[in-house]
Amino acid sequence: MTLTNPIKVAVVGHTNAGKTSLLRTLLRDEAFGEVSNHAGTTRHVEAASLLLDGKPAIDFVDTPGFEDSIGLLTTLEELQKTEGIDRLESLRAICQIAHLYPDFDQEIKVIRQLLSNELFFYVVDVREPVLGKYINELDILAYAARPVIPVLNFTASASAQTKIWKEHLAQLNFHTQVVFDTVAFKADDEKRLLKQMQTILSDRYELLESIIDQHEQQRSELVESACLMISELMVDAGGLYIDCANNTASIDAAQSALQEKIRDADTRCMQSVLQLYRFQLASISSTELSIDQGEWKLDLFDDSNIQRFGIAVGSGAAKGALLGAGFDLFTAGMSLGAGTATGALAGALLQTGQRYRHELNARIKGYRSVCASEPTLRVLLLRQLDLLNKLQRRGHAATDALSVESLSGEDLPKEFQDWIKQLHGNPQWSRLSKRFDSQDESRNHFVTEVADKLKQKLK
Amino acid sequence: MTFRDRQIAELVKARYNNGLIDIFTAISSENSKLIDTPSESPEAKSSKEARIIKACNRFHDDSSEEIINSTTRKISVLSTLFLVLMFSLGTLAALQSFAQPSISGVNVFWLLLLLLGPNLLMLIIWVAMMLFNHNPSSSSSLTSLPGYIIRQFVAAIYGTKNDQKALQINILKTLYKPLHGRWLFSLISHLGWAGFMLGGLACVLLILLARQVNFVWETTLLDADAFTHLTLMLSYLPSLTGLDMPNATTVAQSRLGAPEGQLADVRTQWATFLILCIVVYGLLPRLLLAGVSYHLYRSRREAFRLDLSEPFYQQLIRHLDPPSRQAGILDPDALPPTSPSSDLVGPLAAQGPEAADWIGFELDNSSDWPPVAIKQGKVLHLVNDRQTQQQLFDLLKSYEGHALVIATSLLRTPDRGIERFLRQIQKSSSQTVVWIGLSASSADMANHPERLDDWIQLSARCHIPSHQIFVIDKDQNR
Ligand SMILES: Nc1nc2c(ncn2[C@@H]2O[C@H](COP(=O)(O)OP(=O)(O)OP(=O)(O)O)[C@@H](O)[C@H]2O)c(=O)[nH]1
Ligand SMILES: [Mg+2]
Repeated sequence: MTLTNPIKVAVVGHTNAGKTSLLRTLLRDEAFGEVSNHAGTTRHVEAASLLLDGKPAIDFVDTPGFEDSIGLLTTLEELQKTEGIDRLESLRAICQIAHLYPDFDQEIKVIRQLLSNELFFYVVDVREPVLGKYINELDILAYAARPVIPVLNFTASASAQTKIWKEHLAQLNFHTQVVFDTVAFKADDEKRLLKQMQTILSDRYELLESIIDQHEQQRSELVESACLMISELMVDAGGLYIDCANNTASIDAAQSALQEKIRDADTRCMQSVLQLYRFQLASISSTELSIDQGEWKLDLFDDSNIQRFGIAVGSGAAKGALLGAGFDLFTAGMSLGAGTATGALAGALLQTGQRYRHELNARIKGYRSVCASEPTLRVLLLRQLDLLNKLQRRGHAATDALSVESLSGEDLPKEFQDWIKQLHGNPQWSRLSKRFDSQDESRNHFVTEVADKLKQKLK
Repeated sequence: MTFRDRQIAELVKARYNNGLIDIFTAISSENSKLIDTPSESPEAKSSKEARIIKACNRFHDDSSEEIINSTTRKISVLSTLFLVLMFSLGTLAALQSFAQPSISGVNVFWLLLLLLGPNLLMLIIWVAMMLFNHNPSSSSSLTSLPGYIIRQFVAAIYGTKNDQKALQINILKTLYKPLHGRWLFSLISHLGWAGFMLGGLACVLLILLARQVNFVWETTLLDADAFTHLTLMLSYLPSLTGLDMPNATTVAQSRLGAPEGQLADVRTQWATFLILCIVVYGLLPRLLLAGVSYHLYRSRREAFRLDLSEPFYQQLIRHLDPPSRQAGILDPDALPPTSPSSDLVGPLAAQGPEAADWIGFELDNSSDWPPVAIKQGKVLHLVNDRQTQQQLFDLLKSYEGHALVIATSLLRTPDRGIERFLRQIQKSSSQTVVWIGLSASSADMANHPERLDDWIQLSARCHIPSHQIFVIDKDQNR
């Protein structure tokens, strides 16, 4: 990429219109500036850059809000009259004699930015009626003779009067407004804003195009990674078994150990997803995951379980023949066929033995094993998906707590039941388990497959 | 970037995945401190992987160093033990064949079979394994025998008793990924068998040096010609050294029970044949394969790259590549925040004045106007912009009423513009009591709990006490 100067954009507007919020959302930075529902929250002019490949692409400045545009406009007009200067010059003049106007200290900070940036975002709170003071703010912006993009904020709010604002802005010759809501974020709105900049700053077309591309790529990468994380969580939780002796006390102990491990993993996954989307950890409130218990059923003779061993269960006779584990091992060896190499055959036998050994031991020696039940895993998955769905629509300006719940079971992929079966049959897939085997390539396949299905389920 | 750097990254990943370290919080807090780094840092130019490795290296401490070192140490100790074991096995195998009951001599072919046979069998198995487990990512659930052996090997190193050990196993496994791990396994196994052959060779040499041995062969089922052929075939390669090998006649003469005793040079021929066979068919191929395995192990190791699509690395990239960077304050605010006189702040009025003149100011919409709260008095003016403000001030110049209500919406953010407006009204009608009526629905009150207080503060700054402020119920206007 050739070295281009970053685009310089000043974000201006009435106080409390959401200027700082807009920047937080555009920058994906919850920590930028200060946001509150009072007038005059931002008191300093603060800068931040949107990065493209690690280099600043757009330099934004956040300004204090206009509060008294009527007073300021009157003062500027007086200056023009008494000094005999034009509008743009009156902006420069008032900056030079700023000390004479302590009441307009904040507004003069804005004017300085009007003189040094190439484009302005004029943020509008569309819940407000179109008042004279807002029109006067646009009048002052016009003095600077630079392009302005009105950004209609709060459009998702119930009392939004987006249409009225659009009409009024059109009357004032602003035909290119952008609809936005910094809290209920829509990727398309952001794209429209960048496209709008493209039409206005035609010599910055390429740079803006790269930013749009980067946004798009990042969005899909984020979803992909998040789905992988959730899928791994499910594999970790679903494959976890904790052994215990066959009495109530140790079953209880094993159950609480299981719960703790799964809760822990659940929380860590949630935090990772939040961090991935660059949200602070504190912003989430969630209903505690309730884990009810299921017991490890020795489901040796389940079809899918058998197929995992590479045994073709073609005929009913083959199924019927699998009467005992010994026979099972035998069949596993035989079905490999004569052409298979000795090593692989030996490996298969050993493997099969390995897989079943634990379960057989358990049965023979009277162990019990506890694992997460299907409803538990369902809740786990639904909540993580809900979180992901919400994060994709959450602007970084949002200040309300994010609550995550699991809704109806219909939202899960239809393969869910099947996944649980596979998980219960593959304890070596769980990273939480002592039996975890990182070399088992089938785990990775399963994880990516599940992640793909989850991605399709996202709204 | 060396293999070791990547190994460290994988180790950090394993520790993160096992919940032992939290590197992202640390990186985020570092990021937020990097406000004024120059944008053209060389870091921006290096590859994603390089930056990931660099970041991971910062989380590499003594304890993780110890994990890598102890693993390497244990592998070399175990390999050495394996070599020693194989060497002794080779010696034993050779000794065993010299200790045969046959009085008249040592059975050459039996000795060769004992030494070379197992070697050959294992070689075939190795080749088969390498061929049939060619694709390491194949999803076949028949996990390979080498995989199994490596697993057992790993378990032997650590045992699987406590959690910490289980973690170490995970880490070890990630450190010896299948692609190069199989070559390491091959290397150790070839070296082991070379050790076996060496053991056998040493033992044979020692015995041949110290004892006079007659070499014989015997068979019950096979034809004598077969042995002659076999000997001639086997001696082809060794004879390339130019040394004397047994020929057809000497072979025939050496059959067990042949009448005449063995000549010294026939013994030497057999001895040379035996030693060269062990070297050429046993030791050299294994050493060669060990060399090849070593080379492949090294090159595969160097070719190993982090799988950047894994969630951990994805997350790390996101943290290293923040979408934005704060650039700090450009134009600081010098003025201290003003605090209003608090003696004007108190309870609100329950309702507006009995008789007053009303000014509508920046109302939400015209349907709120005039409010039903107007009992007596009249509507003076409706103010929405600069022009109407001016008109109002002109009106007030000749105004003589006692009470003035400024009806506005609670939803307006009380700003300095409104403050200036109120001050100006106060100034131009000093004889009049100025009231503020805030029009709000109960939903507005609930949605903006802080707004009423902001209005009280603003009014206080304009010297309007809070007992002159009241709320107009917007719902009543509907
Ligand atoms: N629901 C909703 N709330 C918003 C939106 N944008 C901003 N807010 C809220 O509006 C209030 C004001 O936002 P700020 O970003 O501080 O506004 P500002 O323009 O920077 O204000 P000053 O710095 O005081 O001039 C905060 O309480 C935000 O949470 C939006 O799009 N939707
Ligand atoms: Mg602000």
